[in-house]
Amino acid sequence: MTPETPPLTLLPTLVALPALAAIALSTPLSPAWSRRLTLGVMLLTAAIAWSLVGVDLDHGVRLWRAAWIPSLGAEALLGLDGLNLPLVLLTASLCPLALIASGSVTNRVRTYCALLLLLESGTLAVFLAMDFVLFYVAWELLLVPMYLLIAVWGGAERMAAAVRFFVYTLAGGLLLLAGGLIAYSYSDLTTLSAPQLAASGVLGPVAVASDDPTAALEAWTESADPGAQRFTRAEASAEPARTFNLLALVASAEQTDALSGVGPFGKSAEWWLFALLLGGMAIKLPAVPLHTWLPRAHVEAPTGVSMLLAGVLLKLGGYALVRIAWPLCPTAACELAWLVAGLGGVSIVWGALAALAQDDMKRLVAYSSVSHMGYVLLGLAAGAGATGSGASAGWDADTWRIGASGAVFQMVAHGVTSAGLFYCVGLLYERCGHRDLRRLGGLFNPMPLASGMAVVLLIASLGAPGLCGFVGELLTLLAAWDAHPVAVTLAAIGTILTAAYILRATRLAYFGPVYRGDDTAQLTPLRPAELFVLTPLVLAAVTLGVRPQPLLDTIDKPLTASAESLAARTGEPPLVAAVLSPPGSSTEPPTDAADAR
Amino acid sequence: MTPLVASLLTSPIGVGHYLVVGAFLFTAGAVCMATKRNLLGVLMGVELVLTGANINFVAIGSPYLSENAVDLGLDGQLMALFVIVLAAAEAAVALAIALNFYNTIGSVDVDQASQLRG
Amino acid sequence: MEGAPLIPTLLLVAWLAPLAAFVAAAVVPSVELRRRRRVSASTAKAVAQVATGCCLLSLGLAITAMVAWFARDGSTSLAAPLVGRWFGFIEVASLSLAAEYCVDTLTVLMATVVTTVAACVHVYSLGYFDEELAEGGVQDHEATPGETPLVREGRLHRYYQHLSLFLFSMLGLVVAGNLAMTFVFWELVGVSSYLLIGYYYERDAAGTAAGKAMLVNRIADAGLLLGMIALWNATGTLAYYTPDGGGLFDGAGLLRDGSASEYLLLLWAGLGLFCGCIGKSAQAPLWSWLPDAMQGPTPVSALVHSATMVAAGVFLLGRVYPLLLPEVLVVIASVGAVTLLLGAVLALGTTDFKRVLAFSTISQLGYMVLAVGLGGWVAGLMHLVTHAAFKALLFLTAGSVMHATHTGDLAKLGGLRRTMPRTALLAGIGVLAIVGAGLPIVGIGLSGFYSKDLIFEQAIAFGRENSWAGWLSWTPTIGAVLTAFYMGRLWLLAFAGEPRSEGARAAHESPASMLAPMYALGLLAILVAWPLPLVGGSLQAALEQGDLAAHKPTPGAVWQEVTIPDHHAHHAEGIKTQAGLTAFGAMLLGLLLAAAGYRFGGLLHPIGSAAIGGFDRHTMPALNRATAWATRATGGLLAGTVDRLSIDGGLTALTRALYHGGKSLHRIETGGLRHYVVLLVLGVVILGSLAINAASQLGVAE
Repeated sequence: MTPETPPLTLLPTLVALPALAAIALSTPLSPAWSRRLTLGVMLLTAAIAWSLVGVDLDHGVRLWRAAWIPSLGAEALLGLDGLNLPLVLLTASLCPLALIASGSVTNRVRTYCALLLLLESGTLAVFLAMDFVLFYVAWELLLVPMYLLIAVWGGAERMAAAVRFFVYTLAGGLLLLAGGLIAYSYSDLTTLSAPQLAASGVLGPVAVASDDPTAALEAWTESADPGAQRFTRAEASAEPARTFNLLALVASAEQTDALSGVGPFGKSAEWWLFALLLGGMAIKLPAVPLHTWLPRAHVEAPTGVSMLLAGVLLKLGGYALVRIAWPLCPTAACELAWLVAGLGGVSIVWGALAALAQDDMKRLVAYSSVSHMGYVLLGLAAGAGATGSGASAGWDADTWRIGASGAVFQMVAHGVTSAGLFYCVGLLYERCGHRDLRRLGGLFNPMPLASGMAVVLLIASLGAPGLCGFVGELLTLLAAWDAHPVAVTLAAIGTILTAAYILRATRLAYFGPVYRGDDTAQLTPLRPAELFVLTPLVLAAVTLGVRPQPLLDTIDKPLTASAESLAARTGEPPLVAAVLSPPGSSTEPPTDAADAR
Repeated sequence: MTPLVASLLTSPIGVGHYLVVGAFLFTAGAVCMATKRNLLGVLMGVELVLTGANINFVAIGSPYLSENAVDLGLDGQLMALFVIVLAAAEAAVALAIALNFYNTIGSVDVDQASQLRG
Repeated sequence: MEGAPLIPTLLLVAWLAPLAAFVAAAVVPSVELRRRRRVSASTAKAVAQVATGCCLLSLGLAITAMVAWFARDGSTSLAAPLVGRWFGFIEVASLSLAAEYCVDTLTVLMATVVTTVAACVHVYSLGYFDEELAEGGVQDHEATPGETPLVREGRLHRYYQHLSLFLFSMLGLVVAGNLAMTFVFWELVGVSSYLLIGYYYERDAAGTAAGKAMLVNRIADAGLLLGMIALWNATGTLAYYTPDGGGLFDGAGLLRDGSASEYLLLLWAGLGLFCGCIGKSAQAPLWSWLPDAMQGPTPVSALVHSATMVAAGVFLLGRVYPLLLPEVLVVIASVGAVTLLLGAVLALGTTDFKRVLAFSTISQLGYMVLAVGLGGWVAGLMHLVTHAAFKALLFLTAGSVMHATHTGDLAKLGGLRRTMPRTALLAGIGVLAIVGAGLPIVGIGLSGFYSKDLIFEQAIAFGRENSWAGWLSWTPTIGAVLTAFYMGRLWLLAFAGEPRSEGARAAHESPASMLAPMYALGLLAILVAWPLPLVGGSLQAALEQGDLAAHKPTPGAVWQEVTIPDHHAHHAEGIKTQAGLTAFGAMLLGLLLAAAGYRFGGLLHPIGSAAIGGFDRHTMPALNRATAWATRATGGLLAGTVDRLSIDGGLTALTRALYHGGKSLHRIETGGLRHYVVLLVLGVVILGSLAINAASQLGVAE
């Protein structure tokens, strides 16, 4: 029986709802009503997002599709699988919290709300997009609201910070675009088999898990779909049919070895593609040495924007790496894994050292983001050429799966803790008027709950077990050891430095007999709205730390498929046969890897 | 250089001769535009350039001057007519600009027309 | 045998009961705080009682589990551990981390020790923290020295909350059946220790000490983490034992017999694991956090920083003993020997009651680590058990003294045996136990006598196998002299003589809720190593059931002069008498020296104490400060110079170059019409000639 995979109309709703609300805010609404409307829409979006948890993702990606720019071959293709579901949930849940956290914004509230809504819409679109053009357009669209949010509502040096953010991210986006165009120009739909076409959603959402992909293919080629017409024309004239469909791009890269031919400077096209994508995403992630935009942007941005910037926007880079870079260019990724792991290890230590030197608490948290995102790179580099005996230099599917799970988990966990920590800093800033650690102190007694929750979040960020920071770190380090012992050792040193700056911040801000700043500070306990923001974040930090398995299970299925594909395409030739066989037979986890040792 | 001049002088009148005249008018116009500080002089230079171009059009398009012209042969003349019309329109606009310019600056020296410079 | 399946369940409940108390203690007061702006004394008291109840429940279950374990099989042969799985935690691909248990003699004994001391401390704290329940808040004189005392609200609930978290973590560490679970709870005891040391967070010293403890432990844990990662990557498992024989210990056996690189990997992994022990058990060179940790409440020092958590390092060594190669064991023994001397010497240089005890803890932990390193699994762990009893007792007496006199400075104490006779008696028992008082040939003494003798025996046995290692067999003797001296000094200064301050003169005996746990621990400090009259067992016999040490002498492969003696070596002819007499002589010498110092003066500041105290109070902090400063300066360099000047500066320079490039191009835009015309014509000419050139080349090609 064919599993039911009707088009998931919730996905366009999710993307369009905040955007429509932003348009609705162009009417002259009072600030209070703008806030209410925005909050309502954001909560509704969050509710819709959480209802996606019930969607059956066992049969592959769930899609929604509409025609968009047929002349380019670009479609409005949205998809949901285990990889982006957690990030969508994170985005949809953090946005209302960020809005509530923006209580201190008083000028141009309506515009602020509209921009937050646009930001949410764009972020969701990036996470859900399964078409490269859509992905790229949403990626660049995000920049505008973010730029304005920093440039208009930011601190004293907001313009410089906003411009820096814009230029860096734009450069990253252009690298991404170049990479995408390279991938496009090497893709060919006609090489794909009917099951592959079906599974990558080319034949439409319904056919994703079809029992009879050949029939679905025939039905599609006879339909009026502009993509189908391009496809039949290309097939008839024996020309390649290019595609922007991300899943089909990957499938096409699996099928043909066009990308591995020699390109400029003796490197393959795949190598260049990977280098472009890695460079672009390393800016967004951010990895040392392309991270300098981050502390500035965070220091200047208002609290709510900082929460979204750290909690959600930094995840775009990691997500794009897992979604696009690794599946498209496994060989190049394997070849450059040392670089990726090295960037990760250096980022961890560098970010932690820099955080240790800060007296501005917000800057400290910002640098801690650089440190924590290093684990994402380290986890993704795990399993490269790690088969031990040296027989094969390819990916080890099992190890990569563990490392990549850790990386994705780390992204979610960091989304929770960093958003929470930025909020805690914002609370202090609102009450004390400054964020200078040397002039804080003694906050535990006047603000017991706020301080207690802040300490929980700080300890979660430190990577203590039972809280969410631990799982990602442990998984990535465990998996990455075999291939990159030096980077893992760096990361272990990083854990010490992390403890150093976290404990320093805790001691200076919350411990001590009295507040060391001036008398004008209003050290009042939490208001209900503030408690409403902080409590879910703390609970999420605890829940993810105590019970990480549901999240790991969610992300495991797409990662397993990617891992097998990676291993098959970089390993010994006999393994290629396995991936060409029907999907059912290759989904068994490769259990022999551990036993063989 | 010398053989070219010699061949022009010895051969019967053909396209080449017209092109030489056109080029001469073009160059004269360009030099006039570049050297004259009087706006009206510049305008005259423009007219000269256009006339040079017109002669080229007519010469190349003429069926009397080239043997292998198979079509009606009116393309060149047509283009020349267009150019004349455009030149007239341009002269009207340019003279209006010149008058305005004179009213504001009190002179027709083009070197003083640099307010729009960035 | 029917008791066997029950044991894990008993331990599970014993482990989770404090967690329930922790959750309750975290949630209920927070809600009340939110509702009424403060936590009432009755809630705090209820939280304390619930936590104590849970702890007593754990104690009962742990004792039941221990009895069931020893009763399950009449024979004294090495019993196979009970292993199994409670619930999963992380499962990705081939990696499976779960809450697994591994129940053997070590587990049940350690669980009992932990819960016993914890129960005593829970009860004791009810009396010790009576001021936390006072109406109108608590006055803290130490938070703001020299000013009006800080008044804060009582927070007994938070103390019991953190204490419950600690007990939960410690029991988790004890029952852990795989290295990852051990690591998880290893970190969690660190976190709870951090919270407990930082209980008086208003005091800058306490906040700093808490952070220092956590940070130093974190340094060591990086080694443990790397060791664990390396072991997992090499063996593919983290469970100590599995029923089918695929556990870590079997995997390590394969590595040991494998190639040279595999042997080396195991060597490094073992050193990494020991690195964790160095931090947690305050061994050299990472000892300095433990004396500072005395800033925490004294009952916490008794439970966390003497009896259980700091002994977890030794427990870890005992647990992973089969993974440790002879070369690693020699490193362990050397570090232990250095530490035991260092701790004993540093104890002479301080006049703070708790600080002396802290250094004595370091020294005693050095004994344990030394014993394990010498192959004396039984000796080391037996000393762990006896030490837990008498050191917890000593700390509780310290708490009692400080509760009565509000000072811990030995210079201001004295003569307390008259005002606090029961405390003085109990402290005396503790002192006699730690110096190992007993009659050597007859073989009767306080608990410390048995365990210390065993360590001496092990040292002699090791010395017989390894002729080069003389210093390792002599350090225990020197340490014993010093131990007897500084402990005698401590007791004489605090309890004998005349009171040296008003506080000491006005001292009073502590309430019954504090004395009762002290009596219990006093009894244990005397009795715990005695043979049980009816059952016929003893602590030593029980430990020997679970001995993980090798059955035959093991030579090292890389460093072949090393031979770890087998676990019967210390029974060899003449060792027992020699060890007994040496220990007895050392103890007598130390006590006599202390008595002489008391008689002739100079006990408060013995010869050389100024230099020692200077090292402790000035050199070490200066070193720590210098390290911290250097690290922060590096960070400042990276964030400031490199980030801002190089990377950001590079970008700014690029922008500026673009700007100036545009500016210079701007110069050709003169605004002069005639210039434009010239440029226009030039452009036409260049383009036209290019076009003609291209056209003519095309023509040539055709």
